[in-house]
Amino acid sequence: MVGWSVRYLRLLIWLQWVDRRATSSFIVGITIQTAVLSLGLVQLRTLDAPAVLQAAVRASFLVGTALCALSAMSAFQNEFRYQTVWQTARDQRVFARLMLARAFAMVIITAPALLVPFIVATVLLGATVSVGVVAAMAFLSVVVLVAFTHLLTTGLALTYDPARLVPWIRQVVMVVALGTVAFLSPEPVRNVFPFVWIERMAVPGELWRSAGLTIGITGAWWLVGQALLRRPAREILTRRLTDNVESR
Amino acid sequence: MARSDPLRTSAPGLILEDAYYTIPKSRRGSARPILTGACLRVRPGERVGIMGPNGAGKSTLLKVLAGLLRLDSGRLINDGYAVTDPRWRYQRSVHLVAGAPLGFYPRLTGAENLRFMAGLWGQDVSRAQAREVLARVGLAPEAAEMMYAKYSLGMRQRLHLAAAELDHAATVWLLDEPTTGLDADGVRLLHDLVADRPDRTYLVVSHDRAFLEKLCPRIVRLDDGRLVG
Repeated sequence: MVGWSVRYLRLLIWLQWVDRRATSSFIVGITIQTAVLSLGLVQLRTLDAPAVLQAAVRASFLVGTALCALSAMSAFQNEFRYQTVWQTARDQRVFARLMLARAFAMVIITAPALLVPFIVATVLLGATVSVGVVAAMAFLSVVVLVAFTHLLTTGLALTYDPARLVPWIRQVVMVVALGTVAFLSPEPVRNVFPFVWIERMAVPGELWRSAGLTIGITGAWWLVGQALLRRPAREILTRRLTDNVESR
Repeated sequence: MARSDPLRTSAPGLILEDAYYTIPKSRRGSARPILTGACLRVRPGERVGIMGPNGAGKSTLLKVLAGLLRLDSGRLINDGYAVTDPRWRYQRSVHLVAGAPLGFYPRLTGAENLRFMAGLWGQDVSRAQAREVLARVGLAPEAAEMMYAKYSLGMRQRLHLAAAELDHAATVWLLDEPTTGLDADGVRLLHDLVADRPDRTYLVVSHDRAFLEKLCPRIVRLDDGRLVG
């Protein structure tokens, strides 16, 4: 198996962009969501820095997880829909790598929207916040989202109708993991998701510990997810090829 | 290098032995046996046509030969590499030209689709190189920058041939109804492409007997799950 060049990765990002751009709701949705959530941040400007940055992290993930869930849903499905799978799945190791690359590409094209809340928070907080800390939080948000998208892509490959599952996954992420509804998201539950640890990076003295936990928890989620899902996903891929589902 | 590889199992060429394959039962229908003890031996560089009645499973046979569908039982080997090779070398040695109308991303241009496919096989193809290959299959420069969704059936078929041309590792081409949508020039081009590479092995499924007879010195028939002739 040969490595992929930067030029090829750029092509994959382009492929992801043209696929997403074609969905009429993508650009409109991403713009409205980002604008509304950023305006929400402006209303919080009287709060202290950790509280504003916490809201920025949530705003970023509310947009990012929604977009990436849609991408995760279509990455696998479209290979069958367009029947490109006859080439992309010739070597299933290449197929697995393609799914990871598409998760990465999706986060890259979502990145401007992810970064806006952090930029707004930095502007609002001015000298009371370290740009380095905000940059680290934004960077780890991107890393977490790549892992989330890839895990979701692998997981959704297991179902024949991912469109039914995605709204539920979104609700779980939004309500439980991001803690938008406090009584449904007790502290111990939130702690097993990486999102909360990115928020805590803004608390003075918590930067390194929280960054370490973000990376550790994300890595653990990804590794456990891959260990549990990779094999069944391969079997599903083989079964769907065998059934030739989309072309019948 | 390859000769001493302990995973290589037999002589060169494509070998299908005592192959059984059944399309699994689905929500829409019952299980359907496609191969019932089929055998085929193809020497390196040989051109074999495959005919058979509608629904006999010719396209499915090509997908089996491409290593995409798993045999229920039997052996499938190309140049010594079994289809079960853990490093997927069998699949890398066989290129399925599944044919129009699908097979590419509709919103990418012809050149972008080619670069995408070639990249999967480890070849970093530039835009200029992609255009060159497209020109070789008769797709004008403006077609290179046109979205695949806007391609005519014949143009799509030519793009499939261009993609196969870029797959340098494949020693076997499996062509499924390659003349679909092609005009007379396109069919001539296909003949030329095949003639230019006598080292390559071709297995061609077509309903066009005259075309097959011209292209392939040997024709087999898929009948009741077996290859005869």
